[in-house]
Amino acid sequence: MGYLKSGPAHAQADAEALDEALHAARGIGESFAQDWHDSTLSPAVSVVLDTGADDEPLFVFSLLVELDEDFDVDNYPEAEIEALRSDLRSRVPGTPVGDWRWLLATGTKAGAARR
Amino acid sequence: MINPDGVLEHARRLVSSSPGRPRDADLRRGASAAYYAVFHDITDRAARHLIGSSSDADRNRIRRSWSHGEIVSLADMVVDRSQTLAASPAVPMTKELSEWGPLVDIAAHDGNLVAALELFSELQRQRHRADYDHDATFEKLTLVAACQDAQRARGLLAGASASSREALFTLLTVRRKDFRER
Repeated sequence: MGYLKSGPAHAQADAEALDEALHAARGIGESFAQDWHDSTLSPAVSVVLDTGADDEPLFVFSLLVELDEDFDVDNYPEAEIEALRSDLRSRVPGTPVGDWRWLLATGTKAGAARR
Repeated sequence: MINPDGVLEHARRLVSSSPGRPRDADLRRGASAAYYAVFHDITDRAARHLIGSSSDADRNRIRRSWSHGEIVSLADMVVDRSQTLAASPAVPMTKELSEWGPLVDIAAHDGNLVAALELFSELQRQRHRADYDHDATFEKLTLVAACQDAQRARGLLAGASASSREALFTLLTVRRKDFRER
């Protein structure tokens, strides 16, 4: 788990490490979407470098699926979405982004488009 | 007494709090509640580990000792160690970890426990976004997923070995300097 160091000498190193991690995160998202392009949920992944608790960097992976934003919870495709989330999560450890704090948020393409 | 089952049920109800798209406030409160269900489950188990024969009232006072930050700090320590061990099983412990003897490795070797702690940390980050990040977006699906993560985290914690849970809760206990309520 990475942590920001203090002082100007470390600032450049931190910035470079974050850039590397962001690049890796976007690569994970792209390869994930390619690997699952046949899925009926047609998943896409966007990545944002945000600020989390204690002002630490937080990489937010947004997994967006092809579902009605107001879908019926009783018909929620639980197993399919869990398979996607599990696979995406498994791709992060061991990469540069895995050295930082990150989370997986799940939403719909329709919801993202509305925003 | 705060019942983790009730907190998680509350979060689930907020998914369908109103017809159509739920209110943003409900989705945020639901994401926060999903995290709290796991937090209160952990503190309940930790208090039972520490003073299991005591009254509910005394255990509840102990439960109020632990902060969110110290639990997630311990969770991250165990998860980091498990990832290190997965990459290189023979790697020695750092000076910081060796301070705790075999406790960290006992916890880090249990896949169920590690997975539960990973979800706990992630839920806490999600909760922080829900409570403080004005720009964060939440949908019904976001909350449904958070509730599933919370349920899964609790199931994994329950399914972890007794020895790894004991190691975790011992670490949670011995890392404290005092047990005053917060």
